[in-house]
Amino acid sequence: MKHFKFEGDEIPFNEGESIASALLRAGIWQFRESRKSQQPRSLFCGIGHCYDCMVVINENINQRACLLEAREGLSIKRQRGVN
Amino acid sequence: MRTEVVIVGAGIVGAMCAYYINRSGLKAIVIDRGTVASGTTGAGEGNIMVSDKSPGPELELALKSREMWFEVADDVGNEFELVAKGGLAVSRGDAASLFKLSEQQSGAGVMTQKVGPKEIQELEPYISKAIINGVHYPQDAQCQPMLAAAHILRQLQRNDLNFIGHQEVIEIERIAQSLVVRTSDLEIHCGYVINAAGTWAGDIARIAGSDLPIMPRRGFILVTAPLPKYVNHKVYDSDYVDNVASSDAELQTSTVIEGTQSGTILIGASRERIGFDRTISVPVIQRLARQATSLFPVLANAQLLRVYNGFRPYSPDHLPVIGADSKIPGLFHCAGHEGAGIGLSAASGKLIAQLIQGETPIVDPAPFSPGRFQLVYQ
Repeated sequence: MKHFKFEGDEIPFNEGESIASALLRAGIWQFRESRKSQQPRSLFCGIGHCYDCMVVINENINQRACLLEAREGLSIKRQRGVN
Repeated sequence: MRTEVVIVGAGIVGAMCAYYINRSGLKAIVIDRGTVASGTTGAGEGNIMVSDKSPGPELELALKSREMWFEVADDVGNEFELVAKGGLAVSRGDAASLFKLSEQQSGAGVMTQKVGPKEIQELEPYISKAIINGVHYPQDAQCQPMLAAAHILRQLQRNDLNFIGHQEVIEIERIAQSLVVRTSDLEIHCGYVINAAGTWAGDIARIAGSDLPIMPRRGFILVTAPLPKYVNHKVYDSDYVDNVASSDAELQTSTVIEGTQSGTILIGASRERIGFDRTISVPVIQRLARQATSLFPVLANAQLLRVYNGFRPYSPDHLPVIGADSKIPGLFHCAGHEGAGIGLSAASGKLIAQLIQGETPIVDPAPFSPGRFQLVYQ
C-alpha cells in the first residue's frame, strides 16, 4: 500500500482515494484549527464548497483534503491559524 | 398601522436614516421587500473612503460621514469590524495625476502622504517591487456592511424602531396631510416616507407618482480563501479614481485589493452598465484576477472561495440624491450613492433627519437635491 505523511505519521491510502477519506479511515478527524478560536475542524461538506477541511500540503496552505487525491510522498500538516 | 416616518429599504442607507430619525425622536418603520442588506449593501466591500473623491460636495459629505461612522460605532457598539485601516493608492506609470489629486484633496482637508518605494514596501511587504509611487490615506476605513446594517437596526429595535422584512411596497399615496404606504398585507399611514431603496429607488419614486433616474452599474468582487495577512491596507490602482468618475457604459476594471477580518481577501473592482444582469462573466473575473496578481504576486497561488456581483445605484452626475421630492410632499429620497453608499450613509442619514426636522444641515444640501433631475425629467 502507498503512504503519505500526516504530521509525521505514515498514512496508507488506496489508489484514487481522497486525502480526507484516507485520514478518516486512519482515525484522524481533526484536519485543522479554526482561525479565531482554535477549535477543531474536519470534513464538512465533502464536495469542495465549504473550505472547512483545509490542510497544508508540502507547505501550501488552504488545500482542500476532500478534493485532492492522495499521492505517495505528500507531506501534509494540520492547518493552524494562517492569519 | 400608523407611524411618523416610513423608511423603504433596509440597506446601510436605510439603517443610517433610521438611526438619525430615531435619535431625533421620531417614530419610524423600516420596511424591505427582502431581508436586511439583501441588495447592494450585501454585495460590496464596506468602503468608507475619502481618498477616491475629488474636492467637491461628495468629498465634503464623505469626510463628515467618516467621522460620524465612528460616532455611531461608539454609540451602538462596533460589532461590524469598523477599522481605519488606511488606503494606499498606487500608480504603475506616471504618478503626476495621482499626486496632483492628492494635493487638491489635502487642500480640502484629507490627510495624505506621498510614499516612495521604501515606504510602500513597509506599508505593504507583499506588494510588487515594480510599484514605486503611491499616496497613503490614513483616514480610509472599512467595515462589514451587512453586519453594520443588521446591528444598527437591531439596536434601534430596542428603542422603538419597527423593522418589517419581506414586504414589498407596492403603493405610496398622498391622502390629505399624510402618506399611505401599502404592501400586499399592510397599510401604513405616516407623515414622511424616506426612499432608501438604493438601486431600486427609481421604482419607489415611480409608484409614489414621481421619478428618479437611478440606474444599476454592475460590479464583481472576487473572494479568496482565508490567507495570512498579505494585504494591510485598502490598496488600489490610481486609475480606479478615473473609473469611478467616468460615465462609460462598457466594462472598466481597476485593481482594488483588501483583506478582511475573517482572513479572506477581496478583489475588485469592475464597472459595467448592462442593467440588472447577474450572469457571472468569466472575462471580467480573469481581468480582475490578472490585475490583482500583478499588484500582489503572492496572490497567484490563492484559491477563490467565490465570486459575487451587485448593482451600484448610479445617478447621472454621480452624486447621491438626498432631500425632498420636488413633486410629492412628505416624500424624501436618500439613494443613488453609487459605489460610495457605505461610506456616505451616515452623513446622508443625518442630512435627511435634519431636513425633515427643519434643522440646519451639516452640509449644503443643494448639490444633492432630487429636484436637479426632476426639473429636467418632468
